[in-house]
Amino acid sequence: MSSTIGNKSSTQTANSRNASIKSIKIKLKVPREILAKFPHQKAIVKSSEASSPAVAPDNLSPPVDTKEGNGLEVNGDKISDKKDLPAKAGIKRDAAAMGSSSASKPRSRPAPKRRKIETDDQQPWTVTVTGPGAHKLGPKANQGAINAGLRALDRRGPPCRKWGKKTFTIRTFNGSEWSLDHWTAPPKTGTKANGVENDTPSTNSDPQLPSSNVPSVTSHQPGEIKEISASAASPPVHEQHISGLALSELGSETMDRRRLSYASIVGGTSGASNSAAGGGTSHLTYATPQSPIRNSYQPAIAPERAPSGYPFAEDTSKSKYTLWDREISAQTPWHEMEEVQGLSQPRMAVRPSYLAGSKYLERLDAQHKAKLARQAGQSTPSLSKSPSGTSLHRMEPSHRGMTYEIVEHSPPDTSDDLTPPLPSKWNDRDRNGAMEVIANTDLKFATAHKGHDQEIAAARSDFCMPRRCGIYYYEITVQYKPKDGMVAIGFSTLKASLEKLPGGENESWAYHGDEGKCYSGSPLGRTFGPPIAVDDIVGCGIDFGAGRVFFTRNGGFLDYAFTDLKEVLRHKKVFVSIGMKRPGGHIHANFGQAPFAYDIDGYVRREKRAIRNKITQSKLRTLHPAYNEPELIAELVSQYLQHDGFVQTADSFAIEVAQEAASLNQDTQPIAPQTFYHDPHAMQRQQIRSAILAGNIDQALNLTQTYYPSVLDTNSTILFQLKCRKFIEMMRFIPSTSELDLNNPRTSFKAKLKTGSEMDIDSQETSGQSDENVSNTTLAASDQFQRAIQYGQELTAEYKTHDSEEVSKALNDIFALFAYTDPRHSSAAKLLENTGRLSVAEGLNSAILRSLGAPSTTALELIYQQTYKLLEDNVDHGGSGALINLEQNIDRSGDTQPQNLVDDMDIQPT
Amino acid sequence: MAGPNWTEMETNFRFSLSDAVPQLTPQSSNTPPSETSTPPGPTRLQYGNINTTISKAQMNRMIMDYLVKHGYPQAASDFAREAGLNLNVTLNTIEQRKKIKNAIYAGQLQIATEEINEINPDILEHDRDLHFQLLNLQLVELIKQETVKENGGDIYKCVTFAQENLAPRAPTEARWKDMLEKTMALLIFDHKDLMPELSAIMSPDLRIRVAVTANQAILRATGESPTAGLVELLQTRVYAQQEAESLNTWPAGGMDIGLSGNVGEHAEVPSNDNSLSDDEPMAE
Repeated sequence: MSSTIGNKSSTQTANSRNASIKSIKIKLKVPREILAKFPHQKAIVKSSEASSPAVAPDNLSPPVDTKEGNGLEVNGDKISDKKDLPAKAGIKRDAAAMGSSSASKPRSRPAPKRRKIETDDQQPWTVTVTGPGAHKLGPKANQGAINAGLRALDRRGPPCRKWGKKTFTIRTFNGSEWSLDHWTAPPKTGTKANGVENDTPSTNSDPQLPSSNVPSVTSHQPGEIKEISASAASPPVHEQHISGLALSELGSETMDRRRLSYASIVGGTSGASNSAAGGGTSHLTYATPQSPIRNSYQPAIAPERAPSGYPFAEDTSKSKYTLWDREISAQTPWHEMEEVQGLSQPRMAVRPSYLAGSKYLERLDAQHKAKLARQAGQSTPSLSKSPSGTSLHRMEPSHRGMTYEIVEHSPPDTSDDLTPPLPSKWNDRDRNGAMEVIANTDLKFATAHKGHDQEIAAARSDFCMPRRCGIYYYEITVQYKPKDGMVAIGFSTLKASLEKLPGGENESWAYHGDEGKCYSGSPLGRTFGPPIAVDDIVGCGIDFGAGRVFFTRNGGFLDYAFTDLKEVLRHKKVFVSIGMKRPGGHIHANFGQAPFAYDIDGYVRREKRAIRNKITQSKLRTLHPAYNEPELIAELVSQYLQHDGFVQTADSFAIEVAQEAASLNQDTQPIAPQTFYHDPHAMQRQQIRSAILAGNIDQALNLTQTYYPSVLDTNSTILFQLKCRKFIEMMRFIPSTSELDLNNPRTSFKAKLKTGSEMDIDSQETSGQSDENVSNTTLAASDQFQRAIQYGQELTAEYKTHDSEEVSKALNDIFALFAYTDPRHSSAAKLLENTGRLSVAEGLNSAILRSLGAPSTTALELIYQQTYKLLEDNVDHGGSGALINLEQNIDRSGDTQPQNLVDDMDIQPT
Repeated sequence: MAGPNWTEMETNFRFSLSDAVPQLTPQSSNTPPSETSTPPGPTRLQYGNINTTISKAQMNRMIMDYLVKHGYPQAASDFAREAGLNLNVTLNTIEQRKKIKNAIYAGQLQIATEEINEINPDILEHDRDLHFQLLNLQLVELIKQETVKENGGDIYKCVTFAQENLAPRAPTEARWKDMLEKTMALLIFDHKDLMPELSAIMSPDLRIRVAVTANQAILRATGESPTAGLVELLQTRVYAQQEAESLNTWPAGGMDIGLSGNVGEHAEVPSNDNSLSDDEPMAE
């Protein structure tokens, strides 16, 4: 719901436009409270439709033009657009506004309206769904609290496109017709990912909506319409605590996919840039007459949850084939699914122990963290930035009157390629129809009802086994196996059919449990191990670097089954794959969520050690022919010290190296005291650095201004960092608040900063107030506090024009120090640490170096980058580099922790 | 860079305040500087969002680690001050290891052995290989000393030393035996015209190797990791190069490590080194 101001203006514009053009779409923003004052809404609305709204906001009425009206009731979604009457259709409502309105508005007669819509809804479609997969929903099918809760929650985030429905008619040779409804997403409406700005009215892009033969519902009082959109049975819900986590707590199996999609809304990852097109058809898979078995396993909620499920990046035209072709689903870009999944999970589900400390897991963590941060970062502004009701809650009732939302998501970042997630469960969409997935990790080969007993079925994991983790391992436990059945454990690409056992056909490899043979894509097996019996725990491990695959059984290492897969594994994505013969079999998979029976950790450790040994054998001489090992290192270190302005260290190091060389060369004469040439720049840089390290940011700024005046002008980032650091240093001086009588400028300042950072308040005003407040306190300590406050305000004033998230986040971070009575022992204490000084100092140093035209990297840093890159390439090309954690190997910190500098350490100009 | 660059700021700011993430660089250069200096080939230095650069803080820790572990006490203490790092070990232990290193470098094995025993007698007790290497080097130095002398030297002295100290140990390990045999061969051949495997024994490289081994043994005895991260980095670089060569992914032009006076491979790194070599005060 919009503010009153927004309402007025839009009314006026609407009015003027209405005068000139006949058929124009008019959007009104009407505060619900105001509307609620009118007891006879309908009458008013109707009358005022004739005389378009001109006067006060009190007099409002939504003048609905006929064209719009026609489309309106076909689909309840239109109505729900209408009901909020924001300036922009297709955008969700603001959460806060929604909540308040629903609270203040008494609900009046929601049910009849709704029924009407529903009947309207069904008319144009004349859906005759045939086949066993008819979308029949029982009267109780999820119309209750879950949906209501979702709708109430789902009030924020960028807009999503709506699904449109088409009828797909098949005429059989004997003349009978089948008509299936077919859901498609509208074309992409733009590339703007920012939901607030995306104003493409999705009503326009709903291509399949017939606008005829539907009675027009022109005058809905908004409150009523709201009730329509929400299900009639549901009470008004006022939850305003919207968070993905809160939602996921609700998560029942039914809600699973809905939850996923919701989470991505919160994450703000939707947006028109990426298509969610094919997803609309995905539920049809269940209705396909050709997959009777699948149908029989789908719960009734399937159609309901399908559209919000796995998004496809395929275009709409292609997606209709999903109807009959499983292969399409197999081509789903899994990494996109991960996007959805990653958001929905508060914590990473699978962290196999053998990957502990690996680069892969570190990255996965970082990626996860970044995602969560993005989630958090984006949900906050979307609350504050959408006061004008631009976000409209979009619900689209289907022909059954059910509502669900479609969620799009931003394109996966490139890093997803590098760090694909680990398999964590069986893929419900990449399995044989007869293979039932139970609780994500269990597979059951079910007996079909209708006599179509299948002999063989297979399933695959949700994600591929990532090559980047170096060694991947999983285990299965055979829970049950019919007498003549068998289990095949292995892996396959997406090409391998799921109607056959893995190993038996191309691009699949497996260990078959009947005769204990292993197969690599051919019907000819090789005798390998014992047969697999019930209760056996069988493990499969892939060493990507070596191109080997081994199996384990009940904790014991069997053998390497395949040893020459290096090339294959280098080019193909392989998925965990299990096949079973004879219905009834049941296995449980351990993707790393539980401890393994086999000591895979030890295996990985051994492999790592072998590589480590190889590394330590390396002769450094090959790096540079002119130097032997110590000389080379000394040269590199000395270059670094010189380059980065560690003048004194460079001198001492040179002397000590010279001593070394002297003793090596049997030079008995004492080393002559050397006079070193010192680059004046190096000295100056060292001076500036010491100033920062001592916490004297002002001096550093002055020195920099004197020596390198251009640096601060051209490096705004550095300048900002320095200023933030200065503020932090000021806070460091302030004794803990318990010593202060703060009743209290701290909190009041906090409040002010808050408003200040929202950039709504005149900075002049802000500072004036604070002077008043602060002058009340006369303590010496609060003097410093006051200074800090003033400086903080200057900072805010200076940087408030920069509407950068990073900047405002940084400011918020440092101002958070005010929040704590004793910042040194708070969660913000990290900011006060001296490590911050180091990074600022080094950042400034690099900036100065750049301004001098010097290369900002030294040979050592270059070597690091080269090594990093070489290792990455190595992994890409199937090497064993994934088992090397470079960062970890070279930085076993703890040896040298940053020291606690004394605050008033003197600046030593050396 | 002209004018404030706020995009840059966005990408870089997160490093400044929370340096708890040390792997991120505080550098604010828009282009990875290395791109210019890396020769053609598969030179994708940015891997998606992954930063290949190393932060200065990390670099400093690495340097510090090296100075401490390789026995540069003065430089270490200066660096601790200049870079604002903590010197976790006492200067004394660095001092000790420096003394040992320099003693071995100078061929004064007696002094080195005594020093090692002073730190911890168990070191030589347990690391018998190190002990044998030290004794062997001592013998080499003895032979060097004696054979240089005008009158042919006291070869008997060398033989006695070998008999007393090395001979009882040598048979237990084939490696040691081989080592001793080669060393003893020095007594027979003319030092001016030695076959390569024997001249290797005479070269300072052997001293360096023994010094490194001794240093690592001491570090290990004090519970520290024996290899400095810096050395490990270089070794990994060599290893990665070998791997790349075996996978045929090594860029044809090679990769210059960007060290001044790198005459070996490719001088494609232009300004990089010239500016630095001028500043280089190192007296080699």
